[in-house]
Amino acid sequence: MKKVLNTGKNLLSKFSAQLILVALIVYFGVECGAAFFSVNNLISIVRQVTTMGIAALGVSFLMITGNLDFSTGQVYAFTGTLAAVLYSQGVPIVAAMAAGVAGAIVIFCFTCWISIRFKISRLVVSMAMGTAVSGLSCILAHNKTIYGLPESIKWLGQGYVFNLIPISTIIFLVLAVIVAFVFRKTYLGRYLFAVGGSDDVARLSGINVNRIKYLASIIAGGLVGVAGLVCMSRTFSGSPFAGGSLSSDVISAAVLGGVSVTGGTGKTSGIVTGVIIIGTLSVGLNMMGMNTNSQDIFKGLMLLVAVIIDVLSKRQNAKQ
Amino acid sequence: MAKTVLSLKGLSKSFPGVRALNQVSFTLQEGETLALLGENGAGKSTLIKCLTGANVPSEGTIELLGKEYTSISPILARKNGVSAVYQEFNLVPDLPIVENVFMGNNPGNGIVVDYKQMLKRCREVFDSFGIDIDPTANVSTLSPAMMQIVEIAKAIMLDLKILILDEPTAPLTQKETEILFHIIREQKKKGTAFIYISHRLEEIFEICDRAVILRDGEKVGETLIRDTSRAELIRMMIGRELTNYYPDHVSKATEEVLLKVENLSGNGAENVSLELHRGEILGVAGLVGAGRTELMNVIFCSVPKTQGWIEIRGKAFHGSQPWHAIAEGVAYLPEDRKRLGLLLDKSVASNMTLASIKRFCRFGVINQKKEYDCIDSYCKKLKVKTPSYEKEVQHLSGGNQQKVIVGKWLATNSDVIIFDEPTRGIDVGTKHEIYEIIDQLADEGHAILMVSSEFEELIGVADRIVVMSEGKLVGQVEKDRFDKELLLDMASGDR
Repeated sequence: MKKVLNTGKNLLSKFSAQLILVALIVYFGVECGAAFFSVNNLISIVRQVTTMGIAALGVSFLMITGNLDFSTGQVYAFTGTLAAVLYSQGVPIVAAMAAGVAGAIVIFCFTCWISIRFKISRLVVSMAMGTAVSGLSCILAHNKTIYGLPESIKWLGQGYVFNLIPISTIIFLVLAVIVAFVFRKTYLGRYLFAVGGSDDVARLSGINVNRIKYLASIIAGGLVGVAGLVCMSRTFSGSPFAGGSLSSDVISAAVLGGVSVTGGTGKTSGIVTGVIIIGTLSVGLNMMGMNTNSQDIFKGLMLLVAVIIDVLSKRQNAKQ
Repeated sequence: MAKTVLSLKGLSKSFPGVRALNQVSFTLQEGETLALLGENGAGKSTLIKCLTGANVPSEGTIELLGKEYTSISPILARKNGVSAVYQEFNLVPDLPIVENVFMGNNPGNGIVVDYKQMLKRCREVFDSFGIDIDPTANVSTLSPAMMQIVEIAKAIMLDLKILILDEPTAPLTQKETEILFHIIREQKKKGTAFIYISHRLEEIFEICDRAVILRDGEKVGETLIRDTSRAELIRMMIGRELTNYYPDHVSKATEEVLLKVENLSGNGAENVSLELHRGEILGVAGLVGAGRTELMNVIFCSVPKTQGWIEIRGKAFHGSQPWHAIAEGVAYLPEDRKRLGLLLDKSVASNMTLASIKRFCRFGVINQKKEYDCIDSYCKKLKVKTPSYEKEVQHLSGGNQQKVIVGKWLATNSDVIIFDEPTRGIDVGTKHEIYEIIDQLADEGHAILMVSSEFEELIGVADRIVVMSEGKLVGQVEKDRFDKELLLDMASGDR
């Protein structure tokens, strides 16, 4: 009997994200009825999830190396803003978009540099950077949302395959598969987890810890940049205010999915589940007629729940 | 007849799936020092936790100062004068020593703390210990050894009946150990009873009156120290005879110099020169704080050198980072295994290939078959005991953890292997296995640098010993002149 209980407990902690998701779906299903399961609604969840998901994949690289970053939302908004501003100044759209992504990478690398050079936790540096980047975006865009982007970029955020599945979702899934492969099958993955486990152990095992941290920042910047471009295409505008609560949403999603806030653990399948949980929550609460302010309370609570689960599962592990 | 202060009757403690303690009974008299012996996992910590209130026994009773309890709470333990000093320090580094000593026990009128009295009593205690430290300095300025002394002072400030010392001498030098023993003897006269845990058997013979030996949670023996021998104690602890404690070592040292260090300084090491040959085991002796670990860190490039130079296989080596040293075939097994050597929450497998993973990769992608074969072969060669290679290393015993680290470096094809305190915290039976591994590695043509504070172990294993003191190399002893007293004299700077 005890054994069954223990296995139950293990399964519970292993698939806590999946269980939370099922619970949410059941709850919203009961509350909102069949409308919740309509194709349109499901697609809307999926679309909600896509940009956040791509950004969360990026941020997970940082989190796995033990670096929390709270500037994701601002960097994400900056990418779209920069690309749109450059395009409005006559730069070809492809070059403008590339510059947007490059901007995101540069910002993340700069945060990384400060954090390494002055031995300050990335969490703190990124908060300062987030504020600064947000200001920079507003100056670039003169506090306005920039419209008038070319039709040629619409496919990225608004295109569908078979008139059903958004192209951006396919991009997200492909990226998720690649990230899962990197985490599990490459030495880069091993190094990322090792650095997150312990800087010192990694260094004494011959891993160039700083290089790995920069690499994680580059990859994270690239992915957050791509997410920013998808958002730009979907809203068909570049806005310095596009970030919203993304910074904490992606962290909630990653932590719910089992990426530890202290680094060293995490799985791509968990991150994807975590992202879907947050997406389901927003759409479900919307359907129930809850306004954004009340939704924020829920999202905040969600992050708390996620962190508590993280801590409890670690304690459970330590006991065994 | 001395008064019995503590009496355990049939004490048992079960955890899910394990019976950590099984029907253990013994008594402790006033003013007595009782050695509690056993290998890691024998149940010593569980027993102590039952006495200090951290664990609740499943069965049996604890009689404390004549009163019988089925379990003890931390408050009850404190009220009855039971205190424990653990290996991990329980001090606040950024507070003055005196504040730490009186933490939770401040004299005063209930509102205002009587700081003057605290200082006075603190000084008195340190004077009685015969040591000179300033009670107003912050704890963080102390050496680990002195922190241990402060911990003991803290325990003594309480009205103490029973003091449990868990590996108290691990961070202490010979001199400081003498101070500790002096303190213990003084306290014994006042009637304090001690439970003393140590892996160093020599100390047991020096300071303890009686020994209780645990194995697999059961009491397997109880003896007066004066009626027993080292071999007898070891036999009881591991349950079998250990005939050859150290391997029969025949030096296979060759003429080929693998590592040459000249006038090397940095990180507290000063002007050190030494040569290490293929197949040789070179012991590096010294007291704690002599700069041995510091020197090894400079050789391994984890701390920059300020002067001097290193040659590996006859070629000048200009590396500045650990991965440069690793690329040249140098491996370092740190003293602080758990903090610096292993990713505790990662599997045996991923720890073992952490330093060599690139070897199993093509275009950055790991060939899992090759990796598994490597892990499998080293686990078998080193006899790593683990239920599976996916087991997290934190659940392995100290000895098996050490073997995993050895495997990790063998996988990188290192031929200069630096062992820093390779048997610290590893129990007697497994120590032997580690010695055999070191011996075998030397036989296979590796060059071994072995740092240890236990002179006996160096004498038993090494081909040649160099001695360090205050960052400098103060001497070298060949195998035919190995002698504990001689090494000790050199290490303490008396010669």
